[in-house]
Amino acid sequence: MTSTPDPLGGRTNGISEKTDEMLIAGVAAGDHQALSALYDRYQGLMYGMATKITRDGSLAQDVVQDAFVGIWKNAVRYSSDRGSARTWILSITHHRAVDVLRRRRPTSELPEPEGPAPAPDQLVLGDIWPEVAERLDASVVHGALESLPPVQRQAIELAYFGGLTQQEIAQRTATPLGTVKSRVRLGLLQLRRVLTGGLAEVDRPSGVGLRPSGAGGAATSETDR
Amino acid sequence: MSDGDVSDRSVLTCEEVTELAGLHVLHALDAEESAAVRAHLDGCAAAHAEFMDLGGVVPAISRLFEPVDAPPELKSRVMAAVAAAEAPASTVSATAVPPTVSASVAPGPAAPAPSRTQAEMDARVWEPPAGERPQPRRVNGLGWAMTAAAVMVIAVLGAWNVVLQSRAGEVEQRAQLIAQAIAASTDPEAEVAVLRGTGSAQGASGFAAFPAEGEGYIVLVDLPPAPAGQTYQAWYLVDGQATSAGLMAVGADGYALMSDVAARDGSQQIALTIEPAGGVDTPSGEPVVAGELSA
Repeated sequence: MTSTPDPLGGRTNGISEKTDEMLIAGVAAGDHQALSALYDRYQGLMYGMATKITRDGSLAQDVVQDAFVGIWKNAVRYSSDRGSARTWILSITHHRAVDVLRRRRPTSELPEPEGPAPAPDQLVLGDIWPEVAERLDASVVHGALESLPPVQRQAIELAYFGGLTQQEIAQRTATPLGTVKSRVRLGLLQLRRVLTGGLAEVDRPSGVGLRPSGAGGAATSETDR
Repeated sequence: MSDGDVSDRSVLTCEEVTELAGLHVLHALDAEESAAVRAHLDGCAAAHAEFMDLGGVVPAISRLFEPVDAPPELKSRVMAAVAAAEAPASTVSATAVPPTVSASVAPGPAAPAPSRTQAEMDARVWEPPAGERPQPRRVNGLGWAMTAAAVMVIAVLGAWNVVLQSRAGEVEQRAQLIAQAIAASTDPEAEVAVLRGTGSAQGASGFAAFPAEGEGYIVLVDLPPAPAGQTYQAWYLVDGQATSAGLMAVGADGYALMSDVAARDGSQQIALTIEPAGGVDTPSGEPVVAGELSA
């Protein structure tokens, strides 16, 4: 329940009670109201992601717009057994953001023609453990990321938050390409291990005073027991 | 396998693809590389479960992005861009229009039947969407081009017509106008007003755009229908003095749009009121939609 951002979106008609998946089905049928409701729910997350990656408010607006056009056109292909609506929407947004960034940022190594954008790819990254992923809060994920060897963490962050390609990461960190590949792969594997296995006992980096009680503990001010 | 093997990135071995899995799920491969990965996965008998394993971590990492509210005017831009885009793929197939040119080698994922085996599942998951064409995606500035093809597609869509309006010509025309309005609003020389609804039009949003040359536009979304016997009327305001810009009709889907709006020098605001059908010379009530013009 708490996973849906801004569940009521400030609206009071029936559409606000629909699940994300129902709204996407509506969008697939050409319902503009459903898209409007989806916008209200996700604009903050999408714009936040796009702003962080592009570091440019106007580019970020382009990203959100592109992403919604993509959602509109591809809603019919969405299938909930391939991952949650949130995952799907954010994956599209992330892809658009790195696309926009790369078209803007010519790199010396990559001949990235500015012509027709590469067919944007909307891979759906399946939630393997959706019930887990949906419950994770940022502090738990952050803790897991902190637990990685710094070089692995850095490679993942440059890729995912920085929108860098593997070549750019290699250049930036003066690391051979093969090492970049294995850092990212091993880092993600380790994250998966920590997040799935250790949901109830994520190692917190020293003394933040949080009980290792898994999701949700961070936000609530514990009136302790 | 070997580092920097840039010379032949189009054919990858299973081992190479496995190495790239992490970068792929983080969208850290360039277009060519990810196309090569997908080509391999499409044709590979192996399950390549590592993509699902690693990809499953990504939704968790995405929790670290902080939400930031987008500027309010973005919503009307997005809704307008969507209205100007082709209809969702479902409506295309529903009216038996041939799927818009697919160059994809993969079989189309049209049938939404649930997959049975892990291998099928993977194949579907990694399949590039067949309908997604590299098409003009820039909607801002002069880069926007509403292609003749896109307009045609919209015109042919029976279902789309039913959803939007009763007459096909209107749909086509509206899509074009919306595209032009968006282009006008992103012209750096244009005077633009972000419009917001209040009172009975609470929830409506939109924009007015007057490019340096040529006609202006007023576009609104989520505008409720005017009460029976009444109409929306748009106004320019100069020092509180209102001049009519014309009447606005609302579509069944809540879009309203006016083109050919003549620019008025010195206008500071654009506003809409609800007036008796046929319109009036001076506004009789408070605006239900208003916005400040800024150069």
